[in-house]
Amino acid sequence: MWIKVVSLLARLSLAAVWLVSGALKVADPAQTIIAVRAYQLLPEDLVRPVANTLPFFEIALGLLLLIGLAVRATASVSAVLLLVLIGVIVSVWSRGLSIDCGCFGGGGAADVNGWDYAREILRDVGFLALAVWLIVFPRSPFALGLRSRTTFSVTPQQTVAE
Amino acid sequence: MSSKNKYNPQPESSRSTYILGGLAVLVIAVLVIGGVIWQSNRSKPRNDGYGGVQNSEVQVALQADGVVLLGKPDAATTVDLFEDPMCPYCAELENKNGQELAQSIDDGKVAVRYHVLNFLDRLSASGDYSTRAVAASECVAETGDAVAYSAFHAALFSPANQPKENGSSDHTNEELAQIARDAGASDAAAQCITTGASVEQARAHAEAGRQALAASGATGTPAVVKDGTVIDALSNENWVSQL
Repeated sequence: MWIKVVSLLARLSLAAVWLVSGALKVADPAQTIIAVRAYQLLPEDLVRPVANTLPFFEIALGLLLLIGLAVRATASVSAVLLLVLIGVIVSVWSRGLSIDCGCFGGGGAADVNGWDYAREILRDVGFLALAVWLIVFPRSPFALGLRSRTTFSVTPQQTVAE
Repeated sequence: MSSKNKYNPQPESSRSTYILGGLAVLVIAVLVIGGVIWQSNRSKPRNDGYGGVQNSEVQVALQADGVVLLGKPDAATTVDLFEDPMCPYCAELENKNGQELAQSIDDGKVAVRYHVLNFLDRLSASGDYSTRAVAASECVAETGDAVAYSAFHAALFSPANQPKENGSSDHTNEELAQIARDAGASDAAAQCITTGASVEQARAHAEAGRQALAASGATGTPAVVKDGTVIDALSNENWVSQL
């Protein structure tokens, strides 16, 4: 029972993370382009395509989680994306750059120190934990997908299984 | 079906779930693809391919207050544009509206008063890149070559040339002079940039520009001001055509 409740909370929380993060980036395309460029990882020709695509990818993940469709797959993709985002923050930190991660809007050069980067990484690890939970326990109430769905009621079979 | 389902029975797969799920996937796909296209269009250069100012009737002059005025003498309206050569948002504005603005200048619809500022000196590797770029802008403006000024201004803000904030390097005066030459500036302009002859006056002009920016009510760069009103140029991609 409590696993389903945690799964529901994890699903809705991770959905909110992606939707808010994506919407803030969509709202300010110039800032998003500057944020992506500031990482100094992509060639200039790829900066704009990535900046224009990533926010909508995040929103798609958020919507799928929100309606509870293909939760395990969406959580897996979320986990991969979070690992990439953690990786690029580590890369920026190790190269000694001082930038705003642009994680939830913002971006570009900023006065940040190791503690800021550590906090951002810790936050993303928290989100990663939500994604991993959903990979292991994808089923939750109020979900659309057949294999993402469950109810609060405890069926006799489950009692037997446990 | 896997054996797991024996212990974890699920609702029967139903036609309505597949229809709803398919619809949801379709809606999300349309939203994402449409969104990416919309976002790409919204931030891409407008009038791409036009380039810089090319009308020989357009004039450029360094005015007494350090402002560079670029436009036809009978331009219909005048806007003030505040920007720092280090400012990435100014580069985005130049990328998005620069060519469109050049065409409006050529057509005599608008003249631009460029206030080139230096408050981002502290974020440049050399510590005075913005000031030296302001000086370079003034060196080119003083030659009265509007086509070269427009091209040099665009080059300063291109991703290839603009130094990164907190970056490890920027451009020496010699490199700035070369960028100016590549933009078609005269030897006199290049000489002026290389020797740093305009740097001290540029510092004073940039400070005057900073005060004018503060007085305009704008909160940062880039700022476009028309008739005392700040125009939201970064969020409204149609601002040039609406002048």
